[in-house]
Amino acid sequence: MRESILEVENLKKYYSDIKAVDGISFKVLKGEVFALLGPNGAGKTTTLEILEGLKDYDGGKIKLFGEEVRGKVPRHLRERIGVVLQENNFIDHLTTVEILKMFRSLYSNGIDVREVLKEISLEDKANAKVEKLSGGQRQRLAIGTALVGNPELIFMDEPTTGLDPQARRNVWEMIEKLREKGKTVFLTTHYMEEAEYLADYIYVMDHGKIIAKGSAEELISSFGGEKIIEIDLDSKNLDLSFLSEFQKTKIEDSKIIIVTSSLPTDMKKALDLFEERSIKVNDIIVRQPNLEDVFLNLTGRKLRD
Amino acid sequence: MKRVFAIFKALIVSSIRSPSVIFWNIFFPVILLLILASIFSNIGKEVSFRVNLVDESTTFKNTNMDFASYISEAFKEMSTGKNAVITLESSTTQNFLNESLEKLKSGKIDAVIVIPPLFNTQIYAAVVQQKGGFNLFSKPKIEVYTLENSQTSDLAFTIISSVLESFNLKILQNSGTLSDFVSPKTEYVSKNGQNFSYIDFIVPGILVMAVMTVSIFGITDDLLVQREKKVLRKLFVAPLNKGEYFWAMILSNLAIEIVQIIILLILGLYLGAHFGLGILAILYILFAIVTTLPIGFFIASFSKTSDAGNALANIFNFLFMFLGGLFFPITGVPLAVQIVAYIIPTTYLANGLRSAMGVMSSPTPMYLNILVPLIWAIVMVIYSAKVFKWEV
Repeated sequence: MRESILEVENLKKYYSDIKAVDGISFKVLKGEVFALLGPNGAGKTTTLEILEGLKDYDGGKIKLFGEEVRGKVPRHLRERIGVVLQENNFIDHLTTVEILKMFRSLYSNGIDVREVLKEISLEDKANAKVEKLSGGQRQRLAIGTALVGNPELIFMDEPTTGLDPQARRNVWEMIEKLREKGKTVFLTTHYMEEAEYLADYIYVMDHGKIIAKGSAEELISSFGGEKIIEIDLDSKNLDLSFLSEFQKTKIEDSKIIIVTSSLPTDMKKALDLFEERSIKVNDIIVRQPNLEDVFLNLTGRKLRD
Repeated sequence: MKRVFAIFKALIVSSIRSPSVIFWNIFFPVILLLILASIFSNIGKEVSFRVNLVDESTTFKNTNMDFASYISEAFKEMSTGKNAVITLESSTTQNFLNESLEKLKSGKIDAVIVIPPLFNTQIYAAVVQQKGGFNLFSKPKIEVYTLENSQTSDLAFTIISSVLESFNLKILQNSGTLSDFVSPKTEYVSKNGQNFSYIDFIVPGILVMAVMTVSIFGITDDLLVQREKKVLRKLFVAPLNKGEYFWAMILSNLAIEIVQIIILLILGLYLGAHFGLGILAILYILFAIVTTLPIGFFIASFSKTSDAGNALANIFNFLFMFLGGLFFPITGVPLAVQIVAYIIPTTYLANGLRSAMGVMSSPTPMYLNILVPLIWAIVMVIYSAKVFKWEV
C-alpha cells in the first residue's frame, strides 16, 4: 500500500449562507494524479485554498505529509509543495528565467532553472518578458514556478481553464510527465475529459459534498450495462413531457439524452413516441457513458451548467 | 535572507525596467528641480544692476554747490565695496549719453541717469524760490532712462529713486526747505537678510518630495498591485513569509531613494546650491525615508483596489507636497493653509532637513521636526499593521 501524503477528514467551510465545503474526506496517495471534479461553485477552489493554507476552515482535520495543518502551512511543508493558482500573474517587466530564478531562491532544494525551462518547453522564451507571453506560455511558466522548488506534491487549480486545445494538450503532457517522475498531483477541474484523461483517482464534488469517487473506469462502470441514447431534434421548445416514460432523461435545447439499460426496447419506444407526435428527428447516436453522464446521472445537471 | 534578497532583486529589476517608475522617481524630481531653479533663480540672489550715469551739469562746478557731484558720489558709493548693488559707469560727455542709450536698448545695461546741464543752478534757484515763497523757475529734473517691460530695469529705477529721495532729504536738512526732484518712492530693494539663495532652499525640499513620492507610490504599488494580481498569494504559498516580502519591499524602495538622492544632490551642486552633508544630514535623510514609508503602507491598508490606492496616493502626495513648504516658505500663505502645513509631516521634514544640511535655521524647533514625523509614522504603522490585508 502506497503512503498517503494528504489526508482530509470531514472538512467543513461555511460562509454565512453557504456551506462551501460540507464535510468532505479523501486521501491522496503518493505518486498519483488526484482530481477533484465538479462544476463551478462546487467548492473545489475553496477546498484547494484551505489545503494551500490560504483559508482557515470551520471543521475537520487536514494531515499534510503526516502533519496536522490548520491555516497557514508551515514553511518546511511549503518547501515540499508546488502551487499553480487559478490566476497566474508575475511581477512585471521580469523575464521568464528571472521569474524562475526568483522562485528557486525561495526553496531550499530547488532544481536547475534550465532543466525546468526544458520541461515547460519555454527555452526559446527564456529571456522574454512575462507580459509578452501567451496564455498557454504563462500557464506553463506558472507550472514551472511550482516545479522549480522540486516539490513532492503539486496543487493545480483548474490548470487548463481558458486555454486553447493545443495549449491544454501541452499542459496535460506536462502533468503526465510529472506522474512518470513520481510526483503527486492534486488538481481541480470542471473538464470531464481532463479528469478522465489525467486522473488516477477522481472525486466528484457538488454543492460542497463528494457525490462519487473512483477511477474514471470505476465511475463509468457504476452505470452497469447502461448505454446513452442521444437524440437530436430539429426544433426547440417542444412539449416533451411524454419523455417522463423513461427513467433518466435530460433535455438540453434540441438534444435529448436517455440513459437506458435495455437499448432496443427504449430506442424503439422513443422513435415511436416521436413519430406519434410527428416530431422530426435529426440524428440518433448510441454511445458508452462518460464522466459527464456520471455527473448528469448523479445530479440531474451537466458539469458546465 | 536569501529569500529577502531574491524578492528585493526582482522588485528592483522590475522598477528599473518600468518607464513610469523611472519617470516619476528620477526624471520628475530632476525636471522639477531644474524648472524651479531656473524660474526663481534670481530670488534672494545678490542682485546687481548695471547703471550708466551721465553728468552734463556745467554750472557751479568744483564748488560746494555742485549738487550733481553729490549725486554721482552717492551712486559711486553704491557701486563699491562688498554690498555693491550697482555697477556704475559715469562720464560727462555727450557722446557717452548716446553710447549709454544704445547699450540700454540692447539690454547691456539696466538704466541710464542723466543730470541735466543746468542742474546745479536749478537746484539753487529752487531752494531760493522755496525760501522766498515765489514760483518762477521750473523744478530740476533728473532723467532716468529704463528699458520698457524689463523687470530689472524697473528694479534699477526703484533703487535710483530711493537714492534721489535720500538726496531730497539731504537738501531739506541743509536748507530747511522741502523740494522734490523725483517723486519719492517707498519701495526699497534690499539684500535678502538670510545668507542663502532659492536653490539652497529648494534642494532639501525636492529631496523630501522625491523620497516621499517613492515611499507613497512604491509601497502602495508593491502592496496593492501585487496583491490584486495575486502575485503575493503566489509568493506566500511558496516558502516565503510576509515579513520577508515586507523587508524586500522596504529595501527595494530604499535603494531607489538612495539613487534618487544622489542624483538630486549632484544636480543641486551643479546648479550652485550650498549645503552640508554631514552625518546629521545623512541621518536626517534616512529619518525622512523611514518616516515617509509608512504613508504608503497606511494608504494601502484602507484601499481595496490598486486604483483606489493610486487615487489616495495622489491625494496624499499632492497635499504633502504643496502644503508642506517644500518649494516655498509657508509664512506667506493664508492662515488655513498654514494650519494644515503645521499638521502634516513634510513641513517638519523640510525644515529639519534644511537645518540638518546647514541651509537655514529651522522655523520650527528641531525636536518637533523629529517628533511630528515620528508620531505620524508610528500611528500609521500601528494602524496599517492592524488593518492591512495581505490577501483578498
